Amino acid sequence: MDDFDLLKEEEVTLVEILDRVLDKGVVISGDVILSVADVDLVYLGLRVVLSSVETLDKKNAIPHHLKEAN
Amino acid sequence: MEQDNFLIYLYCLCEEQPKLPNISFNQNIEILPFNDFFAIIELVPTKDFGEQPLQNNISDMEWLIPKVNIHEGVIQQLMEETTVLPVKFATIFSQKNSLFTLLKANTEKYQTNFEKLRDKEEWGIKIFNISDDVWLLQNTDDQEILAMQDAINIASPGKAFLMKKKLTSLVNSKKSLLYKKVASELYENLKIYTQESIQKSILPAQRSKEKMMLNAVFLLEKKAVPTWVKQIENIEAAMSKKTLDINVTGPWPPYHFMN
Repeated sequence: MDDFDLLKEEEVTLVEILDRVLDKGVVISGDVILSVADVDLVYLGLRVVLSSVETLDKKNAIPHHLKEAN
Repeated sequence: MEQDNFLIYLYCLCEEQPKLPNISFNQNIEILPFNDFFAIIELVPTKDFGEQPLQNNISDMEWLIPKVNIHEGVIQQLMEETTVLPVKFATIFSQKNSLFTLLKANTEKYQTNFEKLRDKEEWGIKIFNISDDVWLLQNTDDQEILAMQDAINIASPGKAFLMKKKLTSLVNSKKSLLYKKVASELYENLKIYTQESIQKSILPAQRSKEKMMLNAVFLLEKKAVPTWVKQIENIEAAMSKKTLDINVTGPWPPYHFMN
């Protein structure tokens, strides 16, 4: 029987964060509101994200107060 | 002028003045009082956060990920002290006046949100179907399927081949309906003890074995969280076989529940 291939906790965390904080960034210069293009975050694009996460300096890792119920 | 080299990055709004430096990993955070609340900002270089460079940087994961982690980290730390209205990543102002104009225009809305969100948290749930057992446990005697199987057994090879294809199609659509029903029931159960809930779209499979059935976020009073979590544990315990994977994350800043 195949094992269910669960995402690593960091991967889950990162996707959850990106899902919440990303949207159009808004730059307001003077009275004009300009929109930055959406980041097209595709769930399948996680592999690209992961390779970047692995190269991160550990000092940049922020403790997340996330609790898993299971 | 030095000001030309910097823009104002807005992290969030706080109901009460947070104690700083509380944010151990970012010493450049500033608190801007405005009316009865506080804007949490940082001066960021135009060369990184100006419109053009930002468009490029946002597509560069090595730039984006640490920045996003800082953004979320700041907000999470402030959440421990006071009610926070989180702002999306890369919300930027060219000068303080632009920021104040926005804050002034929306003061009433912010006050309403502080009231609504005080002592509350957002939690997320994703439920995955991890085996066909959900289907198998419930459908050993579906009459339509049994009838088709009987017909296949006595059909000629050619006919049987076509009928098997039809059967597969029928089984898949019934499975789909069942999973939707199960997901819907789960969602209704999960809503208990919560203030508000939002069902989000199902994301495509990350791994071949994975099938997401439910993707939802909930707003809960902090004091209701242990009861709600216990309820989820009960749902899991009630499964005779582990057919579902329930992935719970939280507490989150209330990104989904601001008006």
